[in-house]
Order: sequence, then C-alpha cells, then structure tokens
Amino acid sequence: MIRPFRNMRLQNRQLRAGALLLVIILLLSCAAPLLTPYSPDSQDAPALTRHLPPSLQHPFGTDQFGRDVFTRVLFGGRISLLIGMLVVILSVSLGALYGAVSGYMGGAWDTALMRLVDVLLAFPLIFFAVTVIALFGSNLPALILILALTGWMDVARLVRAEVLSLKERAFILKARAVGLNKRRVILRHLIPNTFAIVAAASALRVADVILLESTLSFLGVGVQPPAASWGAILNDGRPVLATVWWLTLFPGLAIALTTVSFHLIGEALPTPGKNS
Amino acid sequence: MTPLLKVEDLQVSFFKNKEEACAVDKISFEIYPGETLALVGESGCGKTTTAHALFRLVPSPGRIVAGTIALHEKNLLALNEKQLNAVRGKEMGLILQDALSALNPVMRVGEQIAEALRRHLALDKKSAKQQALAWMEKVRLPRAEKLYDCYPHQLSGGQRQRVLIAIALACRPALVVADEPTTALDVSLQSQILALLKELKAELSLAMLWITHDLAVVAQIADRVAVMHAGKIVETAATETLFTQPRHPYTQNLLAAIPRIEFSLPSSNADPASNANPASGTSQKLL
Repeated sequence: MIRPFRNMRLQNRQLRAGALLLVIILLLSCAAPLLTPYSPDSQDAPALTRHLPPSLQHPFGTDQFGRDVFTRVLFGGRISLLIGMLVVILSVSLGALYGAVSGYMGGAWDTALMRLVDVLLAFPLIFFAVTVIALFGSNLPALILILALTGWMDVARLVRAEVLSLKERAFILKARAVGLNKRRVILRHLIPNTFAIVAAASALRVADVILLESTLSFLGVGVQPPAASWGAILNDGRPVLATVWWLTLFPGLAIALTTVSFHLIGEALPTPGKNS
Repeated sequence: MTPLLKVEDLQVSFFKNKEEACAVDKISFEIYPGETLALVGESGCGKTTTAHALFRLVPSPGRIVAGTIALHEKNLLALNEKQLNAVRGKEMGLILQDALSALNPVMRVGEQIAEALRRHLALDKKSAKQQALAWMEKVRLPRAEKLYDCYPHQLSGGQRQRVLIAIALACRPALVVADEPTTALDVSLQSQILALLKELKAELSLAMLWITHDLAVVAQIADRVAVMHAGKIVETAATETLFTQPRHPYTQNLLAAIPRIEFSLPSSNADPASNANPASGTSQKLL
C-alpha cells in the first residue's frame, strides 16, 4: 500500500515544518534583548515617537507610548509562550490523572467524576476566569493557575476514554497479578500508554491557551501593563485600529504563526486510530 | 502432606441485569508443593476465569460468589486489597497466553521484570536490574543486556513469552498459574517453552496450575489432570490414569476428539458456555 506511506511522509514534513516554525519563534523570544536596542517598557520621548509607522528604525512601528512594537512583540512572546506551555503542562497533567482515575475505577466513581466534568464544561469558563481575576487581581502565576484549572476537562475525557479500553488489555492484568497497587497501575501502566494521544491534544491546546490569554488581555484582565503579551499589545491597538494598523497586525501575526506551528505539530503527531 | 493450594466450592458468576451466569460452578481441587495440575477443557468452560479467580482478578461484572481459596492455608478471599497485593506475584505468579498483549507496549521489557522484582523484594534500582538480567539469562534470552532495553514489539514471540515467564517467576513464588502459555506459539517453540518451564519447575520446586485445551501438552507436563466442562470439574485423575482409563463420558469424548488418521471427528453442537441457567440440565446432558 502506497497511500499510508505517502500520508506518513506528508505528516513527517508537516511535523518538521511546525517544529521549525516553533523553534524560530522560541529563539526569537528567548534572544529578544540581543535582537533589539530598545527596552519593551521604556517611554523615552513619548510625545515625539508615539504611533510612528513601520520604518527602518522601528520595523513594526511604535505604540501610543512611543515603545518599539517589534521589541514588545519579541518580549511579549516570552510571556505568551510561557503561559501557553505552562498552562498546558499543568492542565494536561491534571486532566490525564483525573481521566485515568475515573476510567480505571469505573462504575459509580466514573459516573460521578465524569458528571462533574460535564458540569464544569457547561460552565461559561471565560466569564468565570474574568470574574475571578477581577475579584482577586491579576498576576502571572494566578493567570496561569486559573487557565490551567479551567482547561483540563477535555484532556480528562480523552484520557478516560482511552483508559476504558486500555484497562481491559492483558498487560494490566499482568501488572495486577504481579502485585502492583492501583496507584502504580495508573501511573506506570495506564497513563504512559495514553501519551501519544495526549501529546497530540496538548500541542493543539497550547495554541488555544495563547488565544485565550489574548482574549483575556484583550478584555483587560490578562497580563497587566506595562508588561507585554501578544494579547496585551493587540489590546493597545484596539482603539486606533483604523489608523495605527501595525499595532494590531504584528502581534496578530505572531499569534497566528505560533498557533499554526502548534497545529502543524499536533496534527502530525501519530495518534492511535489515525491512518499512520 | 498439606496442599499448597486448596480450592473449595469456588463459584464465580457474571451478572447482567440481575441475571446470573455461572462461569465456574462450585469447583474444588488442590495442588501439592512441586506438583503440576493441568486444568483442561474446551474454550468457554471456565478455565481462564478460574485462573483469574485465584488472583481475585475476575473482571467486572464477574464476581466470586462463594467458596474458599486457601494458599499456604491462608484464605485469599478473606484478605483485603493490600494483603492481596503482597501475595500476588510474591507467592503466586501468573503467565498469560498472548505475550504481546500481556506486556506493556511502552515499557522496556527489562524494566517490566525489574518492576516485579522491586515490588516484593527490597531492591534498589541497580540490583533490581542485575537480578532482572540474571532472570533473562535463566529463561535463555540471548544478549540479555541488549534485550533489556527493548520494547515488547521488538522481540520475537518466543522471546516475549520468556520475558513473561521471567516476570511471573521473578519473586520465586511457590505456585505458578500458567494460562495457556504455549497456545499462541508454533509447535517447535511450544516444545522449547515447555522444556524451559519443566526445567525451571524442577530447579525452583514450583507447583503449577497449567491451564490448557491441548492434551498433548498435558501428557508431557502434568502430574494430575482436572477436566473441566461447563463450569464444573467433572473428573480429576493422575495423568496416566486419565489417558488410559477415562471415567467421565466427557473425558472420553475429549480424548476421542484427538484427530487420528483412521478416525473421523464426532460433531457436537453443544455450547460449553451455555450455562446461563444452571437449572437447565447437567453437564452430561449438554454432551
């Protein structure tokens, strides 16, 4: 059969393209201080330099305080990517554990745990996040925590479904017959077997979380000024969208490219049941 | 001599919508230290469920309804989960039929042996690895160092079965339950594994419960044979006696079912699993 192989090669190329794009974005963010002479927060001569269009000195133009947008997009990438990845690591760990426990215990436990997930999924989480942040103030760890706590349910469902079929397999019987307790069976034998699908789902989640953080920043409850995240820069451009287009275009592009890179990776990762 | 394992009136049932299907119907047998008891019968007669029941690992919706399982005169059915986990693997080992699905596909095979060792013996990582390697050589796995880091799919069928044997024997249990350990293998491999188990059995003075439907294997390895049909043990006899003087009609049929050149297969429509309603006839009637 030629077709599956061709698919695989295509997937490989897709994976490489996504990874390359992501590495470039990561390198640019990490090396931000080396790539730009400006500081992301300094407001040297706001009156003279505000809202300058893209030029050689300011390739992405300047914002309302005369800050170099190129610099802010680079530094903003650090925060956006940090939030995206940390949130996904936290929410995926929580979701995988929850789902595996639920699926493995089965019966009434499973029913109860999964109904709780249904309830949480039915909750309008963005309003919940906005409310909590509005009440308790916004700082980076709190933001990451709130995004992680509201984003684990999908993974839990995914892992639980996988565990339901995995737990019937003979190697779980073997693990039990060796005398391993439930905790060890879940942590050492069930969860590692869900890595493939979880990895694919996580890559897609990173993109979602970056967008979600942008939304929160856009609503004014995300990363607080003067710190920059991509969403926060977008937010700065909102009132002057018609005239100062560069303030929206470049962070928007950064978000889009990052999202694309994670999607390329996530879709190319081999998942069981997919033709690979 | 006191038996190592004494099973009395063991009954295992599966439940669906309050309907009870009895898979293992009040069976009793015992195994003495160093002895091999073969449990034979056709597919669906309850052999594997019996094996699961001994470890108290009958999958839901199945349940042990009645009986006692005494290992070293300790009733396993009275133990809690924690005590039970101390027995599983330590005092009794389980060898499964399909070695590919019985090994964790994302865990190195050596680690799976080491894991069994570390569960019961207080070993650090390094000595667990050494002992696992020793076991791999004991079950005749070539290039143990190299195979240790392989994943199950990288091994051949025979190698996987050897790994499974090493896992089951790792903590030197007195009893090994082997659930059709050679069924998935071709004939030459089957005889190799059989020889290996015979040898290890003598060396470790193991008692074995050997579950199979293959009477040729039974003749080679078993001291005694229990014939199971439709959830019941219908006859227990020394291997020699069973082959020469089968008493129960089912046993006679089973022996007659071995194809011979001058012999044509008797056809039977009896479904060995059709025991959902125990009131409807005895096992003899099913024949």
